[in-house]
Amino acid sequence: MLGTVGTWLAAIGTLAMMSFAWRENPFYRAFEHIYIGIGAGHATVMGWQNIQSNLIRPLQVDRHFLSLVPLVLGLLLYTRFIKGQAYLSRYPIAVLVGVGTGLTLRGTVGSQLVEQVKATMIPLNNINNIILVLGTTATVLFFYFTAKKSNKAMGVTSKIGRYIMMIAFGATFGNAVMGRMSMMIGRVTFLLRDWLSIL
Amino acid sequence: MLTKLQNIDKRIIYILVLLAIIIPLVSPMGIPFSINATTQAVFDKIDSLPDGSTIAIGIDYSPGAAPQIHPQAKAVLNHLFYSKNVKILFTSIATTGPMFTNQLLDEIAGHDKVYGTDYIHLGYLPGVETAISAFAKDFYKAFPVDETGGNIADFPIMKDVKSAADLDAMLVFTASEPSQYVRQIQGAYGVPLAVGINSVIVSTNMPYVNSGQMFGLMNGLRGAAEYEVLSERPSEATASMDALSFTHMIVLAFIIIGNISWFGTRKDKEGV
Repeated sequence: MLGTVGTWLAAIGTLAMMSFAWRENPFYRAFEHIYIGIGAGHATVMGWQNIQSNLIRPLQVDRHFLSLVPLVLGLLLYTRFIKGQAYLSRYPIAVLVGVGTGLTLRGTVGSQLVEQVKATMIPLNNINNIILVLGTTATVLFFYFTAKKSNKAMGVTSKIGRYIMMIAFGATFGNAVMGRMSMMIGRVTFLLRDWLSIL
Repeated sequence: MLTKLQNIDKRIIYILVLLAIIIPLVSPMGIPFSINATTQAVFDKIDSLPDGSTIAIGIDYSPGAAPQIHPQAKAVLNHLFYSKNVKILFTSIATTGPMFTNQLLDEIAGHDKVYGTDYIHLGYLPGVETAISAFAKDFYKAFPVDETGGNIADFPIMKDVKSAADLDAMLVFTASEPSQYVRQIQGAYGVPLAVGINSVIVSTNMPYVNSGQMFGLMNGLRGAAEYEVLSERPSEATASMDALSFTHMIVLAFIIIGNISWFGTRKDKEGV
């Protein structure tokens, strides 16, 4: 029974969202707000569950009092709503930014710089490798603004880089089309199979 | 005539796209499709995992991306649960991840795997990249309890798993930024990594496949269909491929119509 109600609600919601393709209407707008509300409610519940498992439980069961440190930092974030005490919220933000930056930098240099540069140091013994090396070099040179574009060699190279990027954007657009169509297929399949039982 | 073509009511295009989806779904034609090397690589790696291997699966997508990624995850799990003998740890850094993990486990029900021994659902951990780094360093500290509320140390599957270094592979199904896993899992611990992602972010992630930082990649709904065919379990994604082909034909037709009409009326616009 609950499954049937859920299916009907999902079907009505899907039709409401699709109705936007025709024109904006109150039916669409109502479900847009419902969707955002459900999302916010779900995130709140998940957040509370996380506080239970990562704060309340370690405090109650394991007597892990160091868990109070993130609790205090977390509560300080809300001081921005207290007049005159808002500066206190900068401390947890500083910790968040510091930890985030440190963590990301550690991986970025190795994984996204060194490994990617290494991946372009390949023998030019087949057409794929040649396109990869020349394409990467030309695209990087397109963003090299120190040399004047009046330099003939630089001009030609950056033009090749521009075309390589346009091909990449084309591939991204093609994939975007496929993705959007897949979403539509997913919803239509749901309507035909789960709601109308046609498939 | 050409000017009229440039001003086609967009609702006509929507109706044609809708028909291009509905007709092949109701009357499938079975248009053949090829298998991409990146999906083949994912299948080959999973298929060759020795018995007793431990892998982690990150379920990190939201409802918006589910039509593309959920079938991928389902195809891989069907392969793992029905054809392989490996231990599976489910993790998530997206709030909707646990919901989709439970849904997937319900959908593939009927296998002989035992919860806590063959697989475990560790649940959701907030913090995005810091969360990945945290569970990669120590599963026990990051996930003291599993999704059912049990102490993870009490489950046999966790006996030999302490950190990401104990994993034989990791697969992530996400619509956000797989590079976080490249930095924190593959780069930091050398764990073989593959991803199932939505189509629009495929081109930005291909460099990781080319460099070997990802051993494979599944591209949207098509990737799911390819995996279903490879694992000889054709399902919903395979059935959707006709509709996908027809909608692409509609888009291509309108790109051609748009270009013909634009080039045809260019001289009039330029006043030549």
